[in-house]
Amino acid sequence: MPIDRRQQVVDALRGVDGAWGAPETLASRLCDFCLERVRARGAAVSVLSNHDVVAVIASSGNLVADFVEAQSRYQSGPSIEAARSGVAVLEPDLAGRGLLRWPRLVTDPAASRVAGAYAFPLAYGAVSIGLLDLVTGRDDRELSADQVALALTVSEVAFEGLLWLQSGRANDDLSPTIASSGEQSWVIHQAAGMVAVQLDVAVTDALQALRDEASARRRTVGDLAEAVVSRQFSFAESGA
Amino acid sequence: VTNLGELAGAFVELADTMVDEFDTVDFLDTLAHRSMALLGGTSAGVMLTDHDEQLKIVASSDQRMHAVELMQLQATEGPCLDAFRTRASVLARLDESRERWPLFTPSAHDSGYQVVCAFPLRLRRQTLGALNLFRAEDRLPDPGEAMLGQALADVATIGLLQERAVRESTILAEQLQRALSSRVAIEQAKGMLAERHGIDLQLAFDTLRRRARDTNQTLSDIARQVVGNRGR
Repeated sequence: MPIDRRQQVVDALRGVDGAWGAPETLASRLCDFCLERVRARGAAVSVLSNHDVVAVIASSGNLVADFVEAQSRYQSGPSIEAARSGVAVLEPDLAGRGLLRWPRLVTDPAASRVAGAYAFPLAYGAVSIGLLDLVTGRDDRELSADQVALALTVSEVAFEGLLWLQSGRANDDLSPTIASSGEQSWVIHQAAGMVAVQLDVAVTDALQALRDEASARRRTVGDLAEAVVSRQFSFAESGA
Repeated sequence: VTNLGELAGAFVELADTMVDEFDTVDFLDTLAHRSMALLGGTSAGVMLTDHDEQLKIVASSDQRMHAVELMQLQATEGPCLDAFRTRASVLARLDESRERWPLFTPSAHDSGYQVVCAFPLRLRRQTLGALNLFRAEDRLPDPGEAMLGQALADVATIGLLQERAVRESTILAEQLQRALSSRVAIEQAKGMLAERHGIDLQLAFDTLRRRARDTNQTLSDIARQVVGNRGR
């Protein structure tokens, strides 16, 4: 029932302390809803700036987290396309059609357990502030039209929820909930800053160097970034 | 109402607030003029509350109306204020209103009006203001006209609230984007300073903060400069 759909999502998110419940669990409650009611195998919420994913603020587990990480490493995949275009990208058959669209991503081990990927921008008009990523597993059926419609509603509610988290903050002052949920992603930006100095390149090139090096070493960008920040790995010494 | 086409046109125009160049004053001016034309008013005007919950004049079809609206606000009495307070429409003949509004009535009479109407701009729990419609002719609106007046006020209210909600979301979404991009710049700058000076990230952050304070700039501006200069 389309009329009830929004209410269904909002009711499920409602906490004891007000319409949105506790701010710090909002993003993970959105993910839980996607597992329980949309029947996705994995769900993740990330935030965007200038059409790039800058931080993952919630994920239901490794399956989706690894898949989102691999996409960010290759800068390729449904989430990257959804972030850039502001339009939902749905690929129920990653190993089939998806292979032609994103060959490197789909052949990465992180994608091997994912059957279908569904990326929904959290956007109003031209302004995208985040993404809702859903994945299905190898044994799952693809999401039905009803499930996709419900996921779209979740993405609308998630957009409002993120704005609610940010509301009342001064300019340039990021919601503490979003800031602390994105902790693991900030390390990547710190590492990119360090690598920019090590290689004497612009920070965007440094980030790309981190991604390439992580792929070459079969590590996640987050892992390598941790090693850079703790000075166990340096691009200056490796001659990379 | 004789012209159905004009009626339809008014409703469509009042519902259409999702435009880039939306202007509240123009929109309420349209509401005033459309109501005058459809309901046979001599003058019309709109008052809205500002952020202090005080009514302000936003639109008046003519100078005479503007003066009477001002008079209502100064005397703190009149049809518009009543419609706003009670959230119900007010329809009155001035000949019968001297007790109800002792200050407003003679002043409106002197301006040439015989009948005054006001329709609240309200939706559910919110009241935004009221639409005034005054007649020089001594004839109260019939029930159909009264319903139409309130319907015009209702659709304008929905349009206004929608436009406000969209504008607020857009502003908030842009603020979130800026805050995120600042946060990224700050993390990058911390990394650059830490690497350039061989210090830890906390000390790098303290350095950024001190620079911002010393130069009277925001942390994110300093961070963007550091990133642009690769930590130098």
